[in-house]
Amino acid sequence: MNKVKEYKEKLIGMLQQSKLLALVYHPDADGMGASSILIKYLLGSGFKKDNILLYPTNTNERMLEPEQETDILNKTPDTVIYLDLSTYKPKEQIERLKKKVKYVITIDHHYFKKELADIFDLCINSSFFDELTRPEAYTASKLLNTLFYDPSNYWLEILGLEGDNIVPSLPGTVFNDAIKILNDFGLSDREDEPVMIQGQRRNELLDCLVASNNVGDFIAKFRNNKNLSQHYDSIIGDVEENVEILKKLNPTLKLETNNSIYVHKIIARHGYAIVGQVLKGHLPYIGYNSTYVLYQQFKQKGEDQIYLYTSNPFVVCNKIASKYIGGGHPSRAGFKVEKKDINIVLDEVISDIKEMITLRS
Amino acid sequence: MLDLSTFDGARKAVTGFIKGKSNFVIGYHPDADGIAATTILAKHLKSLGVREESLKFYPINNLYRSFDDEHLKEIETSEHDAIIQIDSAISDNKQIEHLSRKYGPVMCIDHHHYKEGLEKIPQVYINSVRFKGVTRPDLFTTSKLMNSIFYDPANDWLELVGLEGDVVVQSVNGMPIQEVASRLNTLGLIGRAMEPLDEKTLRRNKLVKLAILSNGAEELLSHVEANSHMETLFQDIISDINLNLDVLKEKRTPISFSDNKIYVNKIISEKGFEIAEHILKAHIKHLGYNETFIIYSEVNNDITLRAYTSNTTIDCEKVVRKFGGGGHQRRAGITNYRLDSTPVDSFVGHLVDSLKGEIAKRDE
Repeated sequence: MNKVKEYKEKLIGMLQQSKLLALVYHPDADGMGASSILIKYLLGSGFKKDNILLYPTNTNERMLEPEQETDILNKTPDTVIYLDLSTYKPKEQIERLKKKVKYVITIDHHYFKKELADIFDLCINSSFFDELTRPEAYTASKLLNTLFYDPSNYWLEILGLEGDNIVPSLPGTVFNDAIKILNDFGLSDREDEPVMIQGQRRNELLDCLVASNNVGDFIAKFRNNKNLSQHYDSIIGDVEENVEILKKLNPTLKLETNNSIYVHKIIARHGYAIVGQVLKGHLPYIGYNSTYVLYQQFKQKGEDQIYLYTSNPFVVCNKIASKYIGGGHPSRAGFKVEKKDINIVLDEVISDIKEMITLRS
Repeated sequence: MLDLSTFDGARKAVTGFIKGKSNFVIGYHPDADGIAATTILAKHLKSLGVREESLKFYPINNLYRSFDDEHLKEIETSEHDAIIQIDSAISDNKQIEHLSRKYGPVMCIDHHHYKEGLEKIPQVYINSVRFKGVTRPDLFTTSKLMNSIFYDPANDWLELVGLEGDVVVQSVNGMPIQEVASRLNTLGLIGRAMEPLDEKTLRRNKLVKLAILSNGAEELLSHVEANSHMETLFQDIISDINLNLDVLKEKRTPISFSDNKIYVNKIISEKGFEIAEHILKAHIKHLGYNETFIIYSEVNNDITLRAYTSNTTIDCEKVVRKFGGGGHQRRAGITNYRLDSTPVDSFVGHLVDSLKGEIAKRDE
């Protein structure tokens, strides 16, 4: 508890010295839940809404896009806060920002190397609280409601917990509906849309969350916003179409080792990048020794995406992804394919999977 | 026929079960999750016009996970038209079968794994385990399930108390949800070995009633703190727990066997609190490589013992089973086992030998 007090005092001290603030957030349920708690606190402390600049990051690198960084550098806020961003990759970006702004702060719950904390003027991470046995499960929204405690924000804590799958959702319940909206909407990019336009749409979603008093209220406000609703319905329609195909999909390869490999090309009628969402939020059950290779092609971007998901512990997805400068977890990982024929990469990936399976046998 | 593996079916079944009934017997697990779930249900029933006097609460026996005999007699002689069991992790289907046969309508709402066949006994059996869309049903606590069925934003704090109490999410010390969950778990689950059932029941039901009165975690916390009897008891228990934790932290010389370390500790509690399980469950979280803890207490020739291991080849449940104990592979225990003429040290020594036997089998 003393640590909470210590961090809170430091954070408030920095916020009090700031008139213009940039909030860089992960646009998923936890990131937006945490952002909402912070914004509510700032507004309650007399901060003007117009003085809070909002920048949702992209979902892969989890850092500011060049256009966003330029925008921040032009507007020169006093403080930049990175929220729920699970990455300390953008060291150079932080250093560029530090030359222009007073404070660069990060608040997060993802694992990271402690020495990297020094890059920031203030680093608050759930892993700094010794009494927590599973700090990664102490989500950003939970951490924010610990720092700026307000009982009326409990619903945002639950959204963060559910969104990060620490507590799985029950289909058909209100929290599940809200999480689907936040995660599917927040994490799906559209290849033909400029970064700042996509950012505006995500910020509009965050505004909706900040304006709400509870989860039911949020869903109603979201549904009343026709622009947001239409985008969401397009995304979820595409996601569900792919999920239905995957449920009935026959193995592309059946190995003698009782392993099955499924390869599926994502159908995205509305042009959203949904491969990560299909795999993460909608494909929870895979059978014994099954490995999924999902890929999505983007004509305009000139880059494609491949995601892997396995129930075979000998297939190490992040090891395969790291060969292509991607990342993730042993059972789930992804990467981008740039300037290379995706069919060749798919062959390489399948060959790696087969080798990992064979090595075990 | 409603499909109870779908949320929609479950919600319809629960509301259908409650409809038209006015006198309820509510059995509940007296921990943070059970109390929070019971509170959500009670608040909902009150909102439907059911009087609080028509809700009869019975904390279930934490060991046998069923109604105590005295409570069962009381239930059988009282007027009621619905029996509900909440977060009970029923392990013996006989009692529920008996109640169901005699009174018909019984409903269970839970999130624990259950014995096959149980789902066919009560009129309505709702369990997170049965939902197709939930990947970790054990984490979909009963209070969360209850707040999904009777959703009311005002109960979000109770959902968090249930999650916190079942250590699905472990909060930073001193935060209100954590403080409330800790008090409910401590005061609801721990008592003195010789404490009369009436006294325990009164205290547990008081916790439920205070939770029903409260609009948030802080309010419940202040109600519990304002009750001098409960607060004194809580502080006494915590002080005893801390005393034992200090002893455990001293890391007395373990019994070394093969590449294993076995720590044996006798619980010190001058006031006779049954704290072995609580210490093991809520406070010993980090075990080193191949370490096993055995902690026990002895009151009036009855031994209560808990075992906890990080060695995956040891099956704690198997070791305690022959003394009427139970639990899981990594964590199991024996409660109030009569030692008769066996000295406590010999009993514990015998158990340590059984553990060594398990380890030796692996080495073979």
